[in-house]
Amino acid sequence: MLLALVISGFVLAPVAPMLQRALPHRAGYIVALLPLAIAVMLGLMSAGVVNAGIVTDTEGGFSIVSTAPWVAGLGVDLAFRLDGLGLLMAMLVSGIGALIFVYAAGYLHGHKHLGRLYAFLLMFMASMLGVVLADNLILLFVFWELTSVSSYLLIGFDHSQEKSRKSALQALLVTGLGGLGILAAAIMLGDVAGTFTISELVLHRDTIRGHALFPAIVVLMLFGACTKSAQFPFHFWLPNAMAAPTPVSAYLHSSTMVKAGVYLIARLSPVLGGAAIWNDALTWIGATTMVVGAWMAFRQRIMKPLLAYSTVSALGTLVMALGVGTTKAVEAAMVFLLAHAFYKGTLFMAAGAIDHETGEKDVSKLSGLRGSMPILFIATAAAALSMAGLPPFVGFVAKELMLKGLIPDATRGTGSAALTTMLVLSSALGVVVAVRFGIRPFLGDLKPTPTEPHEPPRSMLLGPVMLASLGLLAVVLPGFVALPLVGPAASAVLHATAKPDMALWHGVNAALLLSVVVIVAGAALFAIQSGVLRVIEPIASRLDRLGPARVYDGTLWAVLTFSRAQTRALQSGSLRQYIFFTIGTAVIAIGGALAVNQGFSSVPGLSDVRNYEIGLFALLLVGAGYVGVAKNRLAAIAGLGLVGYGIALAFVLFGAPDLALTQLCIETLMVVLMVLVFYMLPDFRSISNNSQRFRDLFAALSLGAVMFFLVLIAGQSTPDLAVTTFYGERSVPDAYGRNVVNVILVDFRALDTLGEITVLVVAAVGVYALLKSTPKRAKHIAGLKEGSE
Amino acid sequence: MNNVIAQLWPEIALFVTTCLVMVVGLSKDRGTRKLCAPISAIGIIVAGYLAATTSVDTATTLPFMAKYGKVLAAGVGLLLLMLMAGTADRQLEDAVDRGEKFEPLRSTRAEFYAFFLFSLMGLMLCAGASDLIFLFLALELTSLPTYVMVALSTRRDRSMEAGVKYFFLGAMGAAMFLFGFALIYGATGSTALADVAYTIQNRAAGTGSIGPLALTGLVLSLLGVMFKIAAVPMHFYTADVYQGAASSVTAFLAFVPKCAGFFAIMLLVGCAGWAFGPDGYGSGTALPPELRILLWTIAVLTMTVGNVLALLQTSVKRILAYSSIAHSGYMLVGVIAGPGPAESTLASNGLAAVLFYLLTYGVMSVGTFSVVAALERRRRATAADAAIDEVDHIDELRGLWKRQPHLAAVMVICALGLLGLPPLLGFLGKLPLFTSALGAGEIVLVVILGLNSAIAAAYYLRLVSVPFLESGEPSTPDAVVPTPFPSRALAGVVAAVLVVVAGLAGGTLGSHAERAGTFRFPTKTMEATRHASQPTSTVSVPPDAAERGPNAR
Amino acid sequence: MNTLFCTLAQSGWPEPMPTGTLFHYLVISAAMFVIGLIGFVTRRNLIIMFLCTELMFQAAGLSLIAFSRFHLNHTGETFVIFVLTVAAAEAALALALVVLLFRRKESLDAERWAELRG
Repeated sequence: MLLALVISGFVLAPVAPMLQRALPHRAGYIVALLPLAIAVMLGLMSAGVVNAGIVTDTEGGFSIVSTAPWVAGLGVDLAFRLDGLGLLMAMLVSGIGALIFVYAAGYLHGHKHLGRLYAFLLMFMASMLGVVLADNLILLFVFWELTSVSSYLLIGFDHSQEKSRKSALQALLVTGLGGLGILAAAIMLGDVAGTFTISELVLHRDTIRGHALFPAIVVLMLFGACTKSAQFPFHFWLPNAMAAPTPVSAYLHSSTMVKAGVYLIARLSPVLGGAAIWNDALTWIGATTMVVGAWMAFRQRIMKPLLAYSTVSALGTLVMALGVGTTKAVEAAMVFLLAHAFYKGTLFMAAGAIDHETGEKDVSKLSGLRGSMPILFIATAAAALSMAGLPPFVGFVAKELMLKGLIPDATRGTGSAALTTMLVLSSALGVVVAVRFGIRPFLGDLKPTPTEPHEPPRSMLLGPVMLASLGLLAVVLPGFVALPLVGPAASAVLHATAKPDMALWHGVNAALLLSVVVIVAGAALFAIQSGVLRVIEPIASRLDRLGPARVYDGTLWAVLTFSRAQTRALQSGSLRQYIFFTIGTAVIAIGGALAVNQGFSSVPGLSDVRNYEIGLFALLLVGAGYVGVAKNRLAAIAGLGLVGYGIALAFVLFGAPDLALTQLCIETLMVVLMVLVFYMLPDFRSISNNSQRFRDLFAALSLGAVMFFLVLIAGQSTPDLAVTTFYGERSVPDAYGRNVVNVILVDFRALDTLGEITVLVVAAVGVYALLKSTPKRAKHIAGLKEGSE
Repeated sequence: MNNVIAQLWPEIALFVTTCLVMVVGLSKDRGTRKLCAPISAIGIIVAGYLAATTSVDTATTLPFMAKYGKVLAAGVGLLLLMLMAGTADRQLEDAVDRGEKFEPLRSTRAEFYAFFLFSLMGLMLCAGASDLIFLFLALELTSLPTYVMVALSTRRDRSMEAGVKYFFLGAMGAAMFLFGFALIYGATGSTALADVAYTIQNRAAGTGSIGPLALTGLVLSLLGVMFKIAAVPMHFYTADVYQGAASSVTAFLAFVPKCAGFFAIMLLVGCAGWAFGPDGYGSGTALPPELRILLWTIAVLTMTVGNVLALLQTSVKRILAYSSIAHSGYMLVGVIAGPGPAESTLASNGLAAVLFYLLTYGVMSVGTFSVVAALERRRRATAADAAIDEVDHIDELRGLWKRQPHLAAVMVICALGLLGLPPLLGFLGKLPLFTSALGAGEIVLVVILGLNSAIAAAYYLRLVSVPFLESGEPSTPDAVVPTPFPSRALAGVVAAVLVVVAGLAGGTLGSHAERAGTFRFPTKTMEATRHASQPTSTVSVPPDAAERGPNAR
Repeated sequence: MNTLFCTLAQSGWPEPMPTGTLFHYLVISAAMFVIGLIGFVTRRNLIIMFLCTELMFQAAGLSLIAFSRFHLNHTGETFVIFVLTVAAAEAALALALVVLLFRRKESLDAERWAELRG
């Protein structure tokens, strides 16, 4: 059942473009029915109305499991599991997904590739559902990478623009690399725990903690999660990813995909959490991201980057809360996750709508829009107030819970004071951003914009209005919207029953006071923002150049430069250069291997060489040397002939006269053949100049010296004597032959001989085919014959 | 002997087919000559069937590799054959179509198909090789035909240049592994791989090292065989040769010699065995340290060089060539990881992972090359003239989605598969490499493998996005049109479907590779036992002097 | 002649060959191999380059036969037979290629063939 829910998106994706072609005005609404159905289905399943698999009641609440085999040999199966955390995420993915399809139908109305966008969005939605429902680490990685790729396609949707392509690739490289980190960590976890099933990992918690690989697992896992959730210092890809069409940004980069990293952290908290390295790393990465994101958002004036950085800040807050890991902090994180999805989804869609209707992206140039787009104003303002943390919106509740989870008391360390301060600071900056984007453009006098502002179409209003009202309803009717999602989710993370308190009023306490401080500080900061920005901008922009994006650019540049240099240096097209590099590397390889094997030792003397052997050796070496240096083709052939006959002599010496005869025949034939062929070819010309020769000589000598020395060392070791008499004994009784080598060839090794004959056939046919394939150029051959006389 | 012949039925079937093809292909009649391809197809299918039905246990450390390897060769061979349609005699046939007289003497169709089959046969022999001599012959049988195929594949100078580069570097590689084989024989006194493995590992168990002679032999022969798999430092030819040869032949080069090379590498490395640990032989599941360092360096260099060089290319064939280098590097990781602990599964057996990866790589590379092979450039200005050229520049694939959606889909699926995107076949192939290497404790290697996979994304995504997302006509003056050989596109479609279906179906193919990768520690073979039963120090009587004359028989 | 062969051929058989002698043959064979390699690297003429590969094959043959004598078995000798034939086959192909090349470009300079690069 869960499997069907996940793959339904993949099934519908290829159909979407056709649907768009058939029903250009209705397709978006029809496609939106799928996520809606999924959301309803999930709701019914979790409420127990639909019996959808094995339901188990564990400490962490309910869970519904469905498993199908996939790659048994690797321990990877299609295991899906719906529990509280999965339900929260899946509801966000499918619910917001439905709104996004409707929104996209209005936003990109008439775009020629709208069908393609639906297809990519469906693919993304299905992959994201896979991520949050998978109960197998490898399966999770599969869907994780699919979200990266579908987001690549979505960011690069406007493919004609260079910037889109670059940002898409950047997002993919950063998150894809993180994905590989997850794969590595997953494999290690599987290796350590003996299972890839996520829900079973908890049982092996202590084994995992005690294992030597544990730090590596944590680091790689966090690397993967942090790249996906745009944590510092990998946050730079998210603002760039705003090159995507706004529906994509609203869906992927605010409420779903970027939360995948947070989801993974939450999912693995029961397994990896509790260890200092995990919690500390998460807390401080999250806190840094929170402040850096808020600060960067504070400096933006363009709508989408502003929202992107504030998303970065929110993601940091979530990661920090999960890092703190107490019951209160986790509950706060879950509520904040929901609240953020509601308000940020609204704001993104509003940004798209404003841009769409006014043609202006800079918030400082927008003013007085309330009159022309009243409905949008109400929705946006509600979301902005929620983001600023004002009652009675869910953002306020989330911020209260978050503060309560952090405020120092007897049980918490000194770090929590710092964390609280950082949260207050970033929240105050968040208030500025929320007001600047969500309220200010609608108030005041109307400023002229590129196009005449008017209320966006209904399809584009549905999403913001729905989400903004959910942000209110979550507080007004907590038992209806928020608690059924947030409670089980926190329980699943904590592995204990959790019930977040979502009431608005708790009396006057520290958290409330800090909330007031945040709002007052934010309001004050808003009042003096232009002055502040004027002072700090010159310094800050200089600091930007040292940011992590530079590291990314630098790495990319280095790789490409390396590639260019390597291509130029190594792939010159020159055969001789290839050979030179090849042999050089080979020599180093052999030398290295021998150096590891044993050191250099003495070389045996030349004492027991027999006289005729000296003659033979001299013959061979002279012949070989002559081939190497010959100025004349015939001389070279003669040199090779000399070597050949020398080898024949060696065969005789070693008691193989039959071999010697074969060798003699072949050598003679070879010399004759070559002389015949060369008759048709020109004389040598001196084609190397002196410097080339010198270089070649140097190369040759150094190569030769090293190689020769190495072979010497190899040669001095004594092989194990392995006398075999098998063939000698068996040759007469089995094969009725007395010439052992002949017997071996035709009887014992008949098949090898057959292979050898086949090689000969290949060569013969090859020569035939090559020679007859040449274009007829009679004049050349004629001219050549004259010339070579 | 009968036992050995029983194992060779697939090769015999191919040999008979080759003879038939030669006879048919030399016919005076043009129509009869065209029977070459169907006959070859039938031959390959029969060979594949025979390979799948005969049970094989070669006397090597990898007894079950032969069967898997032969079926694999037949399967991918069939796809390659479909791709090969129309490669031989292209110009000649076009000339005849324009009304010129058919010149049987200028046709190389018979030879071309014969070479194809010979090379495939060599590959099968490699998989089943149990002896160094046999292996040497099988490797030569695999590569000699490919030299000629490259040189003959088109009538342009580039093919000739490619042929020359391929031949000379190949000859050097052959000389290297031959010298290596000689040293291995010298160190062990036998050429039977089982005996070689036993002697080497016996010595290692006794002295703690495999000995410098055997080591030099192994290193030299491995370096020589690296040529076949296009690994550093024998990779230089790859891009030039792949670009110069006709696309269909390039697809052949990317699979057949590589496969043969990996079979040979596994057999050779298997002689040294994966039984070394911190306390020498028998204390672990690693290669001897010298070989491990060598292969480790080669693997890292190979994947990095391949991926980095591929980044800047604009020629599709060069991109694929460099990526093929990188994939060799990935597979070497599996060789380094080794068979793992006893009773290992696909997840922990690196050799099984390599064998499985060969299958996945074969299918995916056929798919990508088929897209290039199924298209050609026709000069617009002179439509009457047969000015046909190969499609090569990546820009020529622009907007393919609009014009040939099936080819664009093949490119997208296969390139994403090569990238290792889950849940395609390529991911399933790469996963066991990761798991087995981690199981063997090669964490650094896994990290480098991961980084390389990320670099590779940059150029594979270009192969995906140019035909799929970028619209508009190619900016060349020539028209990019499909070739008149539908079987080429069909090969690609079949490959793409396999990449998706086999990826989703998951485990079934892997279980075959799992069995094929079973590693058996060498034991004394018959020859060795006989030898041991005699007093070893005395040398038995050789044949009488008079009987050893050349005419003794 | 036959007698001479037989005398020489028996040099020491069936006595085991001294390790020193084996070593000398190995040195010569390695030297030939290296000369072949050097020639292969430094020469630009395709024919000479090809002759150098032949030299490397011959070197392998020499060490095979020396090992064969050392181990007192015939495997090495058998191997040499195969090596000789394969070398001949390669030679034939090389010559065909060289002739073909020359007909195309009228030069045997290896450096003239660098159209494919990058």
